[in-house]
Amino acid sequence: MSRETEEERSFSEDVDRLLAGEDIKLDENTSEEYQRSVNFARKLTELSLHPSPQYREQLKQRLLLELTKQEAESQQKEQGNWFKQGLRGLIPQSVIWRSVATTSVVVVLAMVLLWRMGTFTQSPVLTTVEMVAAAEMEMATAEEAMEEASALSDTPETAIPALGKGGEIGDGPPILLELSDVPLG
Amino acid sequence: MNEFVNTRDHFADLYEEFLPKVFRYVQYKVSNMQLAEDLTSTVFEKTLINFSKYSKDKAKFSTWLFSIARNTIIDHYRVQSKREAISLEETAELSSEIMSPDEELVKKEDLKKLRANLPRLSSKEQEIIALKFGAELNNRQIAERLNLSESNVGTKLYRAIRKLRDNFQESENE
Repeated sequence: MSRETEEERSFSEDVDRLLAGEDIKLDENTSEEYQRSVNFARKLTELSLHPSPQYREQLKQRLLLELTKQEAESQQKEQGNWFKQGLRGLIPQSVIWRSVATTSVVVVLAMVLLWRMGTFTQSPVLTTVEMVAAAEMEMATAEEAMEEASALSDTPETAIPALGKGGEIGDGPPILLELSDVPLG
Repeated sequence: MNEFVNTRDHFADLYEEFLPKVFRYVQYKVSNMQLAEDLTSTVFEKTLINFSKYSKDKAKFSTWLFSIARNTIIDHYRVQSKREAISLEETAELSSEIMSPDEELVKKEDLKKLRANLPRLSSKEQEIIALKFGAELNNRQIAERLNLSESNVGTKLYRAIRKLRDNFQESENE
């Protein structure tokens, strides 16, 4: 290895040691050229500027704030994904079950729509008890009507004389007739 | 939640380790300190945005980070289309050591000469010096980034330092 090659290799090692903060002492056999180069490298390491503490701290705080924002956004995105996955879990994966679920939803929606339109409230469905009560009321009404009719037939004006054996009026017992049998007019 | 806490701690650790290196790397590539701070901030903001996509299986973090830094500087110059003027007033701290006014003045002058002479090197030499003295990468790491052999990086580094040193000397003699 030539002297120059050896000096090139040694120089890199000496510079690394200077940068690490070590103080190197050169051998007396080293060339003047090499010594001047190492001294100049030492001057460069001493010339290096450092960021001021204020700048260092301000930048650090700004970066950590930015990192906090990134973390918050990342967490929000994860929660959104969690919700979507949960929702996806409710939906059956099988095609058949998915069809059943879809059909059920459609039927329910249709029934709600019809109910809202009042389709179910227009023709009320009566219960058996209600039907019996309604029939009883009808019968009571009809009986009242019949009683009225019979009451009207008891009076002389309205009684229709029945024909007796002699064919004379009043010979026979009075025959009660239905009001409906009395011709009108 | 634990995952986020780990991410926050991880990023904070990387920030503490690499901020000084990125800052020095950038200041070797630009001559304006305010610009160096702005570009350093941009580098870390881009890193944070893409942090979730980073995979250590693909590349080392330092390799990935300094790729972002290099591209950020390239984008800046593409937009600017010219290098910024030197500004001595806008300086960060020269060192954590307490210096006398004379020492501080000397260092500022040296810094000014460095900024003036760096552009006289080739772009590859400037990049090697920035990665070595700014980012504090070893030759193997520099070789991976620049697609060179490790020995080739050593050669180029030694020659670049000698050239820069000579230019420096010329500036002092003027």
